Amino acid sequence: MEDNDSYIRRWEDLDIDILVKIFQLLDIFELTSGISRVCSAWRMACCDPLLWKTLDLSMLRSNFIKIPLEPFVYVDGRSDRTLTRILKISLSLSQQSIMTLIFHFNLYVSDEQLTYTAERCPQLRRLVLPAWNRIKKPGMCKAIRGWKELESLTMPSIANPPYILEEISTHCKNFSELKIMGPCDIFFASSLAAFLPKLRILSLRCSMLYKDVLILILDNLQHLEVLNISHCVLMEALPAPQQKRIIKEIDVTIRQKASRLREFLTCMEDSCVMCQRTRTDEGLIRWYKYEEGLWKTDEVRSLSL
Amino acid sequence: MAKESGSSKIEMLEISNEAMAEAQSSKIEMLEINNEAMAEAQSSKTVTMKPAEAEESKTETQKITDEESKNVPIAATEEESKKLSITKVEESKNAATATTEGEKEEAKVSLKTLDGVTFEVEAWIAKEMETVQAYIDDTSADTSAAIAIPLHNVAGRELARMVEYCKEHRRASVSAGNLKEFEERFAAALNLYEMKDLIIAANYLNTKKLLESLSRCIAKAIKNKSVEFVRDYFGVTNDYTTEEEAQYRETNAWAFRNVDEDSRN
Repeated sequence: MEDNDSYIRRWEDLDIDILVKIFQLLDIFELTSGISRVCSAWRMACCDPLLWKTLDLSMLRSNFIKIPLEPFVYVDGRSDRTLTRILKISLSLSQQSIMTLIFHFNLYVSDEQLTYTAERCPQLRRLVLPAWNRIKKPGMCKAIRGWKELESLTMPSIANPPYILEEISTHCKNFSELKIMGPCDIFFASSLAAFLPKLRILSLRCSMLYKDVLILILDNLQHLEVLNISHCVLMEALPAPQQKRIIKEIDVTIRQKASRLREFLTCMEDSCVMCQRTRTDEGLIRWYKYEEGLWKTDEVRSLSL
Repeated sequence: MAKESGSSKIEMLEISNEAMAEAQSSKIEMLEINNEAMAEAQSSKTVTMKPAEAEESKTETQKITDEESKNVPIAATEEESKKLSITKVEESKNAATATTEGEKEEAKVSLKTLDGVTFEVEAWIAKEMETVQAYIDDTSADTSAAIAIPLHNVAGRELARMVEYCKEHRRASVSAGNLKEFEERFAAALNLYEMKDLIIAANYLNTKKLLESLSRCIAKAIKNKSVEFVRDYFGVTNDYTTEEEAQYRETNAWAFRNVDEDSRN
């Protein structure tokens, strides 16, 4: 009786949805390391879109050393090959259903890897890519052109922001959410105002921020609903010889300008550990020094990982 | 003149207090009658009535009492208001005990498995099985109480285990430690065939907690194991050709490093 019963209901004959429920409990390494090779039914379950809404590679880091010249990092070939393999299998199994893609801030993706990924994730809505050292302008532009559905981006502070913001403005019509991991200067802020005036959510947490930059953002981003400047070192430029000073609390002018926002998130407490860290690191947090996964947090719920 | 109006006020107050006391006593009497009626109804069969039917079925005295209760005068003194609140509390207590007694009796659902076994389970267990709950919601209350709900994909053995799981899970969920221990014990007691049949049944009946528990257990067995081991362990037939297999091995050689020893321990 039991044998007969088990013959009727073999493991490979389990409903796909049961297998998917089981596979949802496995991480990316387990999903890509051979589960799909057990049999064709298991492979079919491995391709279920439910498993691939989010491709989270935040546990994967490059084995790298810092170098003085561009791109300022040298990535070990083995860790590069591991990333390529995982991307190949994941993107093959996901069958273009990935909507959220998360990279670690110490995972240095190359141009080829980014292009390969972009071509196979046409439905991408959210990209978390905090390290761009090895990505060149054409590679990034090509990727953005393919992501027409992109709504949210977490990016590092870059020297020449207009090119990327212009691409987003042209190709990503639903774009509404930006997080910059690093200082936002006047050039970056004016580029935002010029190319992304309809931005709704902006997070500049844990970085150095000048008062005039903040005013420019509040004045020009008329559609802005949420602004997060928690744990920022707020600076004010002064005439020589003083040059600059740290502002200890937000003044009335800024408060008035920010009053139209749905949320204006601030924290400038001396007792706050994160505020202390931002000051110690001079407005450019060295995330690797602190708790693993700390870089993923954000006071804006939709930006937190 | 002023004195007269004052005395008439006091008289009015006394009359209203008497009326209130009468109304209260009749209410308490009615409550006792209602409780008896409820107990009778429970012992025979639970009947659900629509509000309109309920209104029609009220006795004359009930209707009068309802009318009186609408027009109960406001308590004149603090003492009166205290008395009033005490009687109200007692009434609500009586009503509460009546309903809980009713629930104890009423809550049973009949389930018929594919091998013809009929189970009578508590309503809260049926609620855990979302497929059964959906069936109850879709059909009228009368029919679901009278007819055994057919479960075409579940054998008696699996249903018995599911009922046992639901009951034990409820007992164990007092503390997280107990719950974890119970789930481990429950899974350890199953062989692979039983686990497979049970997960199919849990999926069919959409018993979320059991489904999650079994999925965790199977995922744990798969984690960091070689493909060959997984095939052997679950008795899965490899339907890939030798060429496909070789090609896969070549392209994904990295995936075959750092896997656990192929042992069942």
